[in-house]
Amino acid sequence: MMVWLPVLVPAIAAIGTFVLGEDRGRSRNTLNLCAAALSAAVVISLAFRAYQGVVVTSTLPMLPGVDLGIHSDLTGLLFAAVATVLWGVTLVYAIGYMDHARDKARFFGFFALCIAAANGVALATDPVSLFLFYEVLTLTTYPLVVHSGTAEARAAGRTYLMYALGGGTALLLGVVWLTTLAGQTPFTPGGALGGIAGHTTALRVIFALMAAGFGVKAALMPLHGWLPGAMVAPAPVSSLLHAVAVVKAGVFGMIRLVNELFGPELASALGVAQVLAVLAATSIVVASVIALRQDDLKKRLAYSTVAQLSYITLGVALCSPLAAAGALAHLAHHAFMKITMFFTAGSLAETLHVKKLSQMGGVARRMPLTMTSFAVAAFALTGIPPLAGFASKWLLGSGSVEAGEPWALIVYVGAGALAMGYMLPILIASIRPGDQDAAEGTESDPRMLWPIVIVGALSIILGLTAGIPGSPAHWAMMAVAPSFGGVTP
Amino acid sequence: MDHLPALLIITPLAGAALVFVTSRSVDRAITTVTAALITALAVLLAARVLDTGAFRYQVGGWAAPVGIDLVADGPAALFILLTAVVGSAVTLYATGYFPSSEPTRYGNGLFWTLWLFMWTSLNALFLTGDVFNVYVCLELVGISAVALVTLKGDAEALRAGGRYLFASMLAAMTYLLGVALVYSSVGQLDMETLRGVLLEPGMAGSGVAVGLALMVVALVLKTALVPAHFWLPTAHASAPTPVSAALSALVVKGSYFALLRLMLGVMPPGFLPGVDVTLAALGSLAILWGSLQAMLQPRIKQFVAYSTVAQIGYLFIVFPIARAGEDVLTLALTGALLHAIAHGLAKAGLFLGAGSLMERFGHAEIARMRGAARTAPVLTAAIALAGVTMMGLPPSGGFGSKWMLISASLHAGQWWWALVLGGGGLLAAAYMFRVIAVFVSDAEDDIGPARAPVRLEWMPLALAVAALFFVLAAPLVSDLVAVSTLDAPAVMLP
Amino acid sequence: MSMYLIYALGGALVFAIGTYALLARRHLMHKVIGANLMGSGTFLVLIGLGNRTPDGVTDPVPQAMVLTGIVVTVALTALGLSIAKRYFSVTGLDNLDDEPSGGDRP
Repeated sequence: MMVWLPVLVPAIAAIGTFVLGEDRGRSRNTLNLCAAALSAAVVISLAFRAYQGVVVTSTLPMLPGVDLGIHSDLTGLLFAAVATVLWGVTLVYAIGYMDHARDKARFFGFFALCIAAANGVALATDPVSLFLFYEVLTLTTYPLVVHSGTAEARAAGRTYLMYALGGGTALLLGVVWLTTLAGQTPFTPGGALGGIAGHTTALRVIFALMAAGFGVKAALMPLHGWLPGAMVAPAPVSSLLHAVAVVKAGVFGMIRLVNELFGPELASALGVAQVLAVLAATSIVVASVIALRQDDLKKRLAYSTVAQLSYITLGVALCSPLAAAGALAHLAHHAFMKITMFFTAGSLAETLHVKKLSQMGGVARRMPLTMTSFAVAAFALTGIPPLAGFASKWLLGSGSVEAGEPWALIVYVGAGALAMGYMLPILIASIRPGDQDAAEGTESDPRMLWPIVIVGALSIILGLTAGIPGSPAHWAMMAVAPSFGGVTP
Repeated sequence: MDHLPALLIITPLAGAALVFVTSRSVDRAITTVTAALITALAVLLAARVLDTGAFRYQVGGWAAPVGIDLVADGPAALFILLTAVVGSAVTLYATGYFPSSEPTRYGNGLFWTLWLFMWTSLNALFLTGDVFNVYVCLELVGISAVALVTLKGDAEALRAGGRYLFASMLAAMTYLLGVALVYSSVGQLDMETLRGVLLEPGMAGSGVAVGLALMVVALVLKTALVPAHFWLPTAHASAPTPVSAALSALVVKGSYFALLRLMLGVMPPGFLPGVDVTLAALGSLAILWGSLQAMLQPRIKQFVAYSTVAQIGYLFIVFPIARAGEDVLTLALTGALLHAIAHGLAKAGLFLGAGSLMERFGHAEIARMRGAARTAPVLTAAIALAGVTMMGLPPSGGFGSKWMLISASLHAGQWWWALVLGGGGLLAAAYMFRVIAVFVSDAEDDIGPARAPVRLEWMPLALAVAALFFVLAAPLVSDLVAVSTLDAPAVMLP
Repeated sequence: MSMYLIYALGGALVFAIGTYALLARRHLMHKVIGANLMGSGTFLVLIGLGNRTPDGVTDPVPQAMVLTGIVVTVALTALGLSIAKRYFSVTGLDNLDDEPSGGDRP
């Protein structure tokens, strides 16, 4: 029963939020914060048990021959932990950010539902259950993207739906076909499709369909088109959903697909992993280059996200233990780093009404704490030791060599340089003298400030503690080990 | 409880008669009580069928072929249950919708009688085991439905009702001619006996085939399959809101059920070559055409009606798949029935929600309903959630049925239907979100206050939520569908 | 046998005429009468083809069907006529194809 809590608690909080209505702000905030704390506690405690090898599974009968299932394995719990912890942090930020906004009940309600869905994706036992939560996630994010109701927001919503539902249809067809061939196959480290390995053509098409479905949310080029437009949503949405929950659901799906459904061996043998690797590498490079040219801060961060997500996809596609561990670790690390930056963008927009790099002159002096945290996260992202980004990139790089694909290492290193290329100008712009020097006022509202500092600090901490059990990096290595028969860092 | 089938027909009939003779002030009470009774009976029937299997009921003690047999198997029980649930919801909504203080508006008193009478006919249709009785019940449903459509009394309603009546008469007469030809060839009207007779060699190509073909065509017209759908959008849109809900959710399923009985229960596989695929192809066309038209409608009830036209298409895809083999039949049939039920719930919610929204805004134009998400959140939620079922997204019953039908088509080796089903979901998303986008707009059109009683706002939401989580009821549906194939004495489906 | 065949063929002919009237004629009365003709044609077919028992005893079932059919058709005709009458008094039109003038949109 406890294993359903990460899904149920946020869902119940959502219902409570809708029922409470627009006016009872204090109760609503308390409800959501308590729910976040509770969910995080449950996930962490499940993780403790999982570290000791205890995995709990629970199923609910659904369609004939197909049950809805949830299980508490390490891989899923890592994603769930990231989502739940960052939910709590983002709640604090959002309460500050949305202070003057409308329709708060709707916002916080669907926010909680998104977390419930993301946790469902994380903990699903098999492709069908994962698909169910994955599509629910699409539906629950839509109201948040169109929250402001402007023509621009609604257009972004329409684009998002076209991509997400299109991808969802591809995923559905793939999953149904798979279930027709092999029955309901639970995710098993190392792969679960031994019985039907003979149907090579069918398996290739199924992989393509499922990868396309996951690829939309994972912003794998050319399926990334919805992400930059979705930046029109309020900053908490861009931060949590488009840096953490939604996009990570996509790459998480990729991880499950390659490591625990097809299995690294089969994926390599069929040749599909190689294709995915090339697509991901292309995505990294192209997105990074596009990021270099963006003046709008959130758009720059959006393309950076596209590139960073493809780090994960590439790592998964390399089919080697270290790369897989690096991919999963980066899922966590990137979440913390990117969310810091999106929070900052939100603070700049909300407090100073600054949205573009060209307007950012002097910001560093007006919001020193915010910009320092941003700088830390930015350096972490580019892979500077001993920050978080370095830890995951090191794993990914070593994994490339271990897999016998050194060209991937070159891609990672090059991408790091490009990242420096698109991050530095932001920092430089903030230090440069400009309009902000003359203006009044200082840092944001503390509810928006402290979350930024916390996640920024975590970007350092996660890097420093990378080898310690319980840190995402170590956790990731433990999680992927069974798929490969061991990880040797 | 041997007389359950008869009771299910007598109860609404008695209610209708009672409402007709008593004073107007007790109309609502009588109807509500009758609805509750029928629901209880429906549950009992489903329980009985699950427990001891399907059974036949001889009306008046006369056995077939002289008498008329009623057949209570899983699918029949399912549809009767659907009618009971949606019917009760519509009744509750109607008690709030028709203001008791306006005696002449909407021919007020007559609604209740006609509504219960339609309910009687529907129950009878779902229980019938005899092809001529199908004709009678179809006509009864048709008469009450047409009368209900014209209830408003204005030109638009009369016109819609007139068209509906003529389509109905065309279908019914054609069907009767078909029955005449069948009877003249084989001298049997009872469905199960007919099935046995048709299995004998040399049957195909005779007068029976022509008769059955006419019957199929007639039922297709009654079920408004494209291109015979022309009467449906105006009829469903011009009726009073509770009637629209009942028409789209239930009445359409009545003739569909008769078609299921005929095509899967009476005709052996391959009896009318090419019909299965033709029906499914027309169904695919319906999905496309209905969705496109729905996207273009400026008025909200017409929009919902065209969604019905599209959703009906899904129901016809089952025919070629179901014939592909024994193992696929149950899966395909469960998918089709699950779709019929989930659609019934969601469409009723959609119509009731749309109707309430129309009342509040004072007009029917979607483009002038901006900001409804803020000003009418409960109704917007009802419409959006009902839309999730239309789109076939999890965890709704629409998803469950889509899954099962795609799975069945793959098992049957007819994978192209999977593409149709997937594409249909995307089209539905297109037409639903076009409307939802207007609701979440930041501009706000003038809207009136929520009309008391509060159930006018909450009933649509309740129905939509029921459909939303209906995939969890799929095991129950599956169990009931299975009962039609077990060794009960009145096996209707192969 | 051939006697009955005449009835049946005649019935089919009447049915066809009725179908044509229902579909192609614009006037509401013509449509209603057409539907009636379809019914009558079907009844003729029923009586004609259904009366073929070997031992000379009339088969009661077709007669029952025809009687039921007549009753149903009467009800439908009544409904059709009242709709036509009401429509005429509301719009002054005798067919469904012309657009009624004036405000009839809710």
